[in-house]
Amino acid sequence: MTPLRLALALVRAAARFVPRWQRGEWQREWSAELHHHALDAREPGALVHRSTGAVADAVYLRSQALQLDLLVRDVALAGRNAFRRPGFTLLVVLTLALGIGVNSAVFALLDSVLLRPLPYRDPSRIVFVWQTLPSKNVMELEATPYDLEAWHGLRGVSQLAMVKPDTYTLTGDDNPERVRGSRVTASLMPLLGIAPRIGRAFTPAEDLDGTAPVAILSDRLWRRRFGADERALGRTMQIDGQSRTIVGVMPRGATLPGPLAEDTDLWLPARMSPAERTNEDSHNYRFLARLAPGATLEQASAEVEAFAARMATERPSHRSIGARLVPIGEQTVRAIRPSLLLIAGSVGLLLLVASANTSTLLLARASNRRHELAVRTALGATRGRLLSLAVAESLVFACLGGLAGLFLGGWALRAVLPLFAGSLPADIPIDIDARVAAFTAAISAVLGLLFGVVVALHRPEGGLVDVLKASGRTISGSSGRARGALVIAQVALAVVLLSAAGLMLNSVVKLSRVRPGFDADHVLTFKVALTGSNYDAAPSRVALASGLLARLGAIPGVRHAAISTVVPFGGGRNANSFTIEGRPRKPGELQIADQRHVSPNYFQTMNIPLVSGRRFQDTDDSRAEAVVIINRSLAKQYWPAEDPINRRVRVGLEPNAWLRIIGIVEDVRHVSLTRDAVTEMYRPIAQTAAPLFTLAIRTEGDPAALTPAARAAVQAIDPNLPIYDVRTMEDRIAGSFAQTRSTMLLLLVTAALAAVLSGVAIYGSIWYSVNQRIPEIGVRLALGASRAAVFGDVLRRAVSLTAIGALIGVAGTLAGGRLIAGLLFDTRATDPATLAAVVAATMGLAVVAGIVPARRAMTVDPIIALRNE
Amino acid sequence: MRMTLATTLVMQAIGAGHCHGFDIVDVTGFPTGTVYPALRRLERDGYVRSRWEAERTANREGRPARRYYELTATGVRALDGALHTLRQLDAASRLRPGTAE
Repeated sequence: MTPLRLALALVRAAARFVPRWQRGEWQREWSAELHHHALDAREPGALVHRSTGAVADAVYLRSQALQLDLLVRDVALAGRNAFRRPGFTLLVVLTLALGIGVNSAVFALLDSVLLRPLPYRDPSRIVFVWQTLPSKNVMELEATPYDLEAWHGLRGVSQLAMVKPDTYTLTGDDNPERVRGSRVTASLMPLLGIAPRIGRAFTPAEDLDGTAPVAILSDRLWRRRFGADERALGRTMQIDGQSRTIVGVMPRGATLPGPLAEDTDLWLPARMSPAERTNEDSHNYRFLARLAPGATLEQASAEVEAFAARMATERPSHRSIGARLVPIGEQTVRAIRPSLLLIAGSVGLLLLVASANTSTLLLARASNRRHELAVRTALGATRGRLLSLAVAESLVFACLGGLAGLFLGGWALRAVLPLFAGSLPADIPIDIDARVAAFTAAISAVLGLLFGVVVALHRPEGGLVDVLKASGRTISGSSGRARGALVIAQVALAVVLLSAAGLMLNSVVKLSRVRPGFDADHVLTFKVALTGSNYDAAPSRVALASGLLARLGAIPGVRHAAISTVVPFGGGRNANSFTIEGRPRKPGELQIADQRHVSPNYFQTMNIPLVSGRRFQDTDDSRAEAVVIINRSLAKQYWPAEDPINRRVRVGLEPNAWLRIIGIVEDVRHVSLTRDAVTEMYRPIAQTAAPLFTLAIRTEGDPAALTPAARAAVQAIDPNLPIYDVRTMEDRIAGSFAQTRSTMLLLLVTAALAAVLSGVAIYGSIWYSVNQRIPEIGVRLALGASRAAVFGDVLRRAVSLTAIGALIGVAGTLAGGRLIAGLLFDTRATDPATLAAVVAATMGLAVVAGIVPARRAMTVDPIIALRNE
Repeated sequence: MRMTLATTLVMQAIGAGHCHGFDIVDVTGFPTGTVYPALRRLERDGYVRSRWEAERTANREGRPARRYYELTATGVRALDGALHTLRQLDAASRLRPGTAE
């Protein structure tokens, strides 16, 4: 290619930048020059070099067309103005950064948790299939293996998979550990659209027993136990004492749908025995399904409900059991969504407060610069030019605010994440990423444009002469009114936020005062996993229980030690149906009670009062008569008018295993402080030999301090017994409403920031108006007005602005109360005491913010004020 | 319009009869990327105007017609003003601090 042709090609390429209407002439000019120059070119390279200028020329023409140069000039001017008054700039930027920063942080949270699709193929088509017990208000009952077979005929779903979540003990090396895992059918991974990153998935044959025991590891477990070594495939691992071959490793972040933060570390094949496959009573299996192509959720739901209704009439085991479908997206985020949305709403309001605050500041500055604007107008600046200048200025502020907000947001996010650690997925990275940055940039840009328009619309009225003649003190009425309205808006928003925070605070206080039915202080709890085949036989488990209790009871500082299969707030309920002797079940009635198997001194250890009858004794063992203690709720529900002591009940389908009721104990809140006690049965662990051990120790001093001693005591009996989930009882209870408390904390911080911003706004607005009115105040004082009257006048303005804002805020809270009602406990969204306290605090804020300007007004010297006029 | 050194020199070159783009580049020593945008600005603000040379002249020399630039009356006045300022600056630069008695 000759230099001429190369240069012409460059010009042709550059021509794309030239506005269309100039392009033809432009290209003609450049090619003529190049042709002419080529005729007498001394250096051919120079021709190409010259043609590069065409790019600059073309870009210049394009930017001129966009009036970019004007905008660039405006932005440069705005930048210079911003740096000329660093104090003002800092104030505006900090206010904006605050509003934008918390929104960026919360957006990062929302984006990762609520907005991104779940990591499955076409996740909106995947549903959970739950059974229900409408009569007991249980809407999510796990199903039985029998239902896997039964539901296969449904036409509304194309794939069905079963999951049995559990915990497993890994042994075989020096650190036995307890991990979450699930037994799954081979259909699960194809249904979800996930697959191992290395190795293989399960085969349908592995749904049945008789196949070799295998396991698939999570990426995390693989890294932790094998250092991400691909040779782990084919190796064996001791899982619950059974040797299993590792056949695959899941990709990072691959997890089961369901409540977040319950990540699974082990994937095991179902390997069901014929007996398990036909079990229709054990409601411990979760089901997932994919909607059939073309089927809607409503159609499939209707089919499932109709099918369940038919089953309820056909199978005694399924009497009064319904079924429903819940999309996995809803299931996954349901627990945390209300909190997140509330927080998002509250930081949105904070951004509004910050924006109103910034507008106030910018308006105040604009009226200080009326001279400058008037001069510009007189010199021929058009309305458009002034708007462009105003927008450029506010864009500079908004960009600086957005940038600072992004840093602030990163910091805020790191502070917030630990608060929700219990309810957020561990594997999803939550950070300030490109999406969050784009979001931040977008709100900054919108705010910048908005502020510019607001300021430009409040341009001073009247011509140059009017403005220059004015002493610079009187303000145009519209700008003063706008400032007043902005202050009122900020106060109203702050009152809404403060009310929401107050209501949440009220709930948390009430929650922490709920009596759970036992004494939670000075109790340490931990679980012990029975591993290996040492404890397969019932007597060995009973012996282990008494050995553990003896060792633990001997630790200095321990008052009582007890065992229960499940302790309150320890997760799991273990509900089972029961029958009362001599009282056949009515058709459609399902009698259910939570089952706990405890050592004799459990009630003393937990301080659960005995209502009547007797507690368990050491003699209630496998040789003695089978006995049971029930709680007050169960007694009230089934023997409302009689004494249940000495009556007999049977649990589940065990034939002839009648249990004699020997006592009634007080109700205990087991799952959460917000839920009333359920019906419960306690049985002596010496008679049931249950393989689940949770130990509870009542101590004299700090319970957490005894953890090492308790660990040592367990290891002394069997060094292979892992102890896990070690927590004090108070910790467990606090954890049960951690999310409510975290939400409350964030709301409180947001509301406090909003209150501070509105306090500053009240102060700034009153100070400004006092400054404007100094001559008037001077005249009043000269005419004999008392200083107290002037002081009162100024303060009255602060209080009246605030009162209007507070009224609007209270009205807003009353109107929007139901949005928060679901997160409250024992507190009405219209709680008058909370609202009154918020209003009182806000009025106090107004007085504090008004005092300094009021004092300034009081101390005006009439002579100086009038001389300046 | 702001008179920079580049715009002043471009105008001076045109005033001196160098009226085609590349000729101005040769005379002023500025690259095309500076000269052309300066020309666009000058033309937009009415300091120079451009015309196309007659096709016949160009054809006779076996090349396409070129665009040529000339100063407007405003341009001439602006150039005079700018040169005046430059001369004053030049004079000022000859003053040395401390030489005045």
